[in-house]
Amino acid sequence: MLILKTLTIGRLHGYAIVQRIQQVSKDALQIEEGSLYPALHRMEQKGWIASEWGVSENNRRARFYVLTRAGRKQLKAELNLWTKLSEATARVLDLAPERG
Amino acid sequence: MRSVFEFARAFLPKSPAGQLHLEQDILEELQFHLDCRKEANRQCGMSETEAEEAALAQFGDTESVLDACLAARNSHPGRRMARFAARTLPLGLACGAAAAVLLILYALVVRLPATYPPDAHWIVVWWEHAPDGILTAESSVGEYATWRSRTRTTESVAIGTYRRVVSRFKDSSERLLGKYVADDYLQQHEIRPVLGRIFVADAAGLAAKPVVISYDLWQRRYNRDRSVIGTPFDVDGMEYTVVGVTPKGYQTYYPFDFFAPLDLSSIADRSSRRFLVSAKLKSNVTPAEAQREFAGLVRGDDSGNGWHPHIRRPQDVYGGTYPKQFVPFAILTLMLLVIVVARNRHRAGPVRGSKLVSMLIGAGVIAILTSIGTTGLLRDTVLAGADQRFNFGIDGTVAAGFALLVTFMVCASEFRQKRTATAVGDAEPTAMRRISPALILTNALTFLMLVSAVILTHDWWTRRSPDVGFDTENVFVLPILLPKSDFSDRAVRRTFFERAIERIDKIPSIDQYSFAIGFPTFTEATNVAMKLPDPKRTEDSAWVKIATRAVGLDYFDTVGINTLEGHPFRRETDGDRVGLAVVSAAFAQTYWPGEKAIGHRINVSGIDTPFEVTAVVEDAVSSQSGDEHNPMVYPLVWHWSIPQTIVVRTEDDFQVVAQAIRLAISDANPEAHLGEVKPAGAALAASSRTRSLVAAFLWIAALLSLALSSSFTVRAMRRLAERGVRMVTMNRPGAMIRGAAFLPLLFGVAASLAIGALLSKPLSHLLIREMRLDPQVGAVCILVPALLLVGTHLSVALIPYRQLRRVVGTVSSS
Repeated sequence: MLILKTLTIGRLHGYAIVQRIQQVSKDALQIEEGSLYPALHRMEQKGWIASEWGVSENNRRARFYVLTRAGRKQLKAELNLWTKLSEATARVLDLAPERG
Repeated sequence: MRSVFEFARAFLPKSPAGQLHLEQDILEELQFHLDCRKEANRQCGMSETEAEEAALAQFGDTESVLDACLAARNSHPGRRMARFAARTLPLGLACGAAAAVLLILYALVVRLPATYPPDAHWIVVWWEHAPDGILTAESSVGEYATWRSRTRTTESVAIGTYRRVVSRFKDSSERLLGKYVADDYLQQHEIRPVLGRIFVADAAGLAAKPVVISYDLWQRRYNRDRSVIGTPFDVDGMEYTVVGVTPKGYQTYYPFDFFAPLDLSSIADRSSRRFLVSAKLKSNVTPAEAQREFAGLVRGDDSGNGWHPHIRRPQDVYGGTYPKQFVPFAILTLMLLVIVVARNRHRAGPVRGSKLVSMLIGAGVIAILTSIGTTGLLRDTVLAGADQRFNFGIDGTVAAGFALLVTFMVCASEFRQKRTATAVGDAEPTAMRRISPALILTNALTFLMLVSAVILTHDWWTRRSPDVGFDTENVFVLPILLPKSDFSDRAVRRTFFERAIERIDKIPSIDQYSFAIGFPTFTEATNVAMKLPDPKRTEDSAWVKIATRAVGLDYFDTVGINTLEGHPFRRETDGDRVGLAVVSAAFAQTYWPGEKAIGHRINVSGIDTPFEVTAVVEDAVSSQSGDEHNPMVYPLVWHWSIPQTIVVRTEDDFQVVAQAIRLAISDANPEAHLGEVKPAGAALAASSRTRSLVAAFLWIAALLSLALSSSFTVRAMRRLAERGVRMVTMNRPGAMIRGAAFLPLLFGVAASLAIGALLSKPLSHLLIREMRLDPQVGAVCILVPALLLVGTHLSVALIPYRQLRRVVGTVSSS
């Protein structure tokens, strides 16, 4: 979901995606950077994102990813689910002290 | 259009090149990420080394990431299906092809192949003589007529017999094998001639008797000349007319050269057991029901005399493929599947039952189809023209080579599966996948050729100077060809031989000569059932089949087989005496150990008068293919009764002496003639020469292949190093490569050679020919060592890969 959401801003390569996630989360989300790539390839296989080779800002060949229509749909579904889940979690956490 | 193409491409497994390209693609992407991070780190004030180490630490294990990416790229359902097919198909093909090889061995070593009739409803009649357990395929005309007239279980009953005859062609004469059949036989067998027609009712009564020649004879003698129809065809001096040519491959029991009508009405002795009877069952009738009916009819006629009919399917008697034989191969398939599943379980996760069942069914179906297809193919190609008898020399090597090729197909399939399983995401080093498929291929070819070369070399070595038991230097043989029309009367033959002997005796260059039926280095001895003392002494006596060669006067002196005791047949032997036999030392030792063999009597199946032993001679081979000296019996045959071959000892030029004999024979009777001169050792020398040449060729090819294989191994290992696998042992790369690739490879070769040499020979000789096992038991005995051989090769071939994997694994983790 984080990757899909990041790609809504446009065409990004893997390194830029990691940077963007770390930057937006203010370094709260520290992941092993390599683990991003299997996820990207899996999502590409599922058709949520598409990739193409292009030239990066430092003038090197890099693979860029973009969100597809199926990816937007998936992101919407996952956001809905996340919202419901987080609301439910919040409700449970709010109620817990009353029961105690 | 593009999406259709991509959809179709998703179902295809990636080619090795495609897989490599994908890896390079991903590596470049990862490298870009690492370089970007390294640059960022450097901008934060880190040194070059610190920046690189930090980038690698932040990124995680590159190999694992690459594996996971590849797994993700290969996770399409279509590709999973393709992987399943790729796993099932080679297994099925391998099992099927192995089944075909073993069936060919089984059909040709144990039984003669039958290519006709293909209809499952055809059966053949055999007879068992209950008192002594003798089995024969020969029925009498009376039994045939009884069954044919009263049968309710069969659609048709056919009868025939066969005879060796001499046919004269334009330029020469040839001994042919003819089948004499009832008028409606070919019609019953639904023969559709490739040329002309078949003969039908009343053919035997025609003035110009029709004959249908075989496709092989048409090809060999007439060069497929279509104008052969209507031309005269000589059979033992009688003139027949060619009316048709049988379809290619048509064969019943033996490869007959022609089919001629059999005049049943002229056969006076209707109880004489010398005809082969076959029948076509009605569609809802089983062989057991037909047997009951036939047995009832025979008992009703009271003509059985202790003989009971046994109805058997042709493929049970003559070989061929049929479902029962697939049971062991189905077990083999199952075993291989279990091994494959067990080996991959820890990598690819647990295998669902439904997947296993579908693999079993898929592989089983493919195995059966492949087996049937390959059996037919082998029969029509490799074994065509091999006189329908399996020779465990070159043909055996071809079959063994084919079996090994199949084994390596299984190995390669296993390795491919390992590569695929690796891509699913386990921690096996990526570098392993980069071993070239060419390495597998060259290893397979190396093993194949080395084992074939060893089998041939062993075969050639044992036959290089075979101990045949007699002198082959100064001996030659000449086949005698006597047309039956002129020599059918015994008195005529006797007169002819007396005149011929009188003339041959005057040829000064002949040291000695004799007559015999065939000759050991050219023809197989006949196996005859004899009642003999049980060697294990568990019973008084038993019927045993013994190699027998009928020989004439002075045979042993002529050939050079020494007499150990008694007096073999010499000129002074009473010319009217019959029932004499000489036995070999091995025979005397086996059946009368510690006793004098002279004077013993041997009961022979089908002959009322027992043979009296007059002498014991040294052991000699019974046939060209036999290396060991089997117990042999040499009954006396008077040259005038069944003449076959003149055996001559001389120190002069063979051709000159043979010409003198030809003149003598021709002078005795112009109608008699002789075949080609055959030096006694010629066949052995020729076969030894061929084997040595083929063996030498295979050795050279195998060594070249070994060099190629080694070169591939070295290149594969170098590539591993170049691709950045951090090998701590790279300071001694030569030692590592030798340890990881060469030694296991050499070990694999050595093990293959040892097993091939150990198992191939006993396979043919000890189990089938020497021990004369029951066909079913024989089949199992062939199967078990063959499976062992296949299994051993399978594991041996995988040793280099296991070693490599272990080395690379150790290196990577360190």
